[in-house]
Amino acid sequence: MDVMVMVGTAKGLFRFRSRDRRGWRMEGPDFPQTPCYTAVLDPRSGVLLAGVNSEFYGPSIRRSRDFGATWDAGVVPAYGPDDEEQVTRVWAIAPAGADEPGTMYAGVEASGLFRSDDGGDSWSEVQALRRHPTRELWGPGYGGKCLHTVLPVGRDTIYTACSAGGAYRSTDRGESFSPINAGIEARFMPEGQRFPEAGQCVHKLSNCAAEPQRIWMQNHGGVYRTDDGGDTWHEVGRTLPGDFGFPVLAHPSDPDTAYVIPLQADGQRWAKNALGVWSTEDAGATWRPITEGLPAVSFASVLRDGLDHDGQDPLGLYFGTTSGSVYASADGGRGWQEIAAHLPRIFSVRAATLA
Amino acid sequence: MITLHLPDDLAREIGIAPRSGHAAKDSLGELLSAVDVGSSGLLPRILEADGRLRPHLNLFIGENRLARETAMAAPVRDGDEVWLLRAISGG
Repeated sequence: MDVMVMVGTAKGLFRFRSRDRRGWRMEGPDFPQTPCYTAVLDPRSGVLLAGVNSEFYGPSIRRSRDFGATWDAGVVPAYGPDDEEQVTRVWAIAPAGADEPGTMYAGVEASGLFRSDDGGDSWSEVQALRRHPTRELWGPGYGGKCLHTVLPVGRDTIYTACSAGGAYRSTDRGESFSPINAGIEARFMPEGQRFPEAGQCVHKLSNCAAEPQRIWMQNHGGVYRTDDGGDTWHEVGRTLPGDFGFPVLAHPSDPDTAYVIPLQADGQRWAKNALGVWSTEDAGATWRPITEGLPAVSFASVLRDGLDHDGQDPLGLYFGTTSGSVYASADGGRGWQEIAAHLPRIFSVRAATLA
Repeated sequence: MITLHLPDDLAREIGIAPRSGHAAKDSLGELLSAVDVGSSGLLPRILEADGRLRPHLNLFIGENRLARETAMAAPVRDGDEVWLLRAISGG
């Protein structure tokens, strides 16, 4: 079985394929000169989906039925003509579960959630999220006012997060949403206002299929974990070299294992002497660095969607930097191999095993 | 007959020719709506949700550059050459 690593960059989608996860062959780039913020494999259908954000022709959600050899023209998601906001970028695409084969979700900028129930032929807004009264607390982060994470669980539960805005949960398939930010600190707010109901700058959420209510969060300052679907959060990143960062990744089957890529500080958003993936195998009590094969000094950063795994055993891990390098580990993160360099700025890395 | 010129990349994506001839309509909006029917989504790619031309595109009828807000209401006549141009910016 081939592994495909899809690398979304400022100038298109680059795909890398390997049979043994050692030698890699580049394919593409697809959508040349066009920012691609995300690309995923829908494991139910074998269709690739990509969020393509043209500076000229707007955002679109595109599909490929031949692993990227050709792409359709896609659908341009849009709010209504009288809406005060516009859809300017697609940030996230998330296929739903196997029992809803045509359903998938998309997170967009300005922060909002879309759903397709026909395999991506058409998309419509899940309106309850933007109608939540706490929406007035949302604002743009440096990357934009974006809904970047969608985690469907079963038919009815959806976890989602926007920046800045916070994490939200629906338990009725998007008919209503509740903020789940209790205990999440918004350090950029004035003293006395740092634990609001919403408005946190959540950078990424990730959960594991084996225990989907356990969710990991990389916040704008602080790594957190919840074991109850967001009702309560525990800060678990205090022993990391820095608790600022963008991606967080849950292990696909071990709920106690997760990965982050710490940056030096909020005001110094690079890894400098510590570029590495840090992993925990005890639910965040301790962390260890995985740095073998990585440069000793690097001023690169890794953005929120720049870290992924391929689901295989041993687990393959992959990340891409803002300076255009892609690193892969085929042994659960014991060491790293640079499989691409000098690509455009990398927005996302998504790995998939092709049947 | 009205001739419509589209950027190559857009024409390729939506599956129509970069240069195509179309029956005359009363307005540019009507003309492009008719073209949209035979394409894979011309209008959503050139218009924002409120109907204005996307900011990094320009529309010309002959030598007249159209305003973003009112471009779709511009009258077109038989023999007109309509040009859609994308910005040449980027790095």
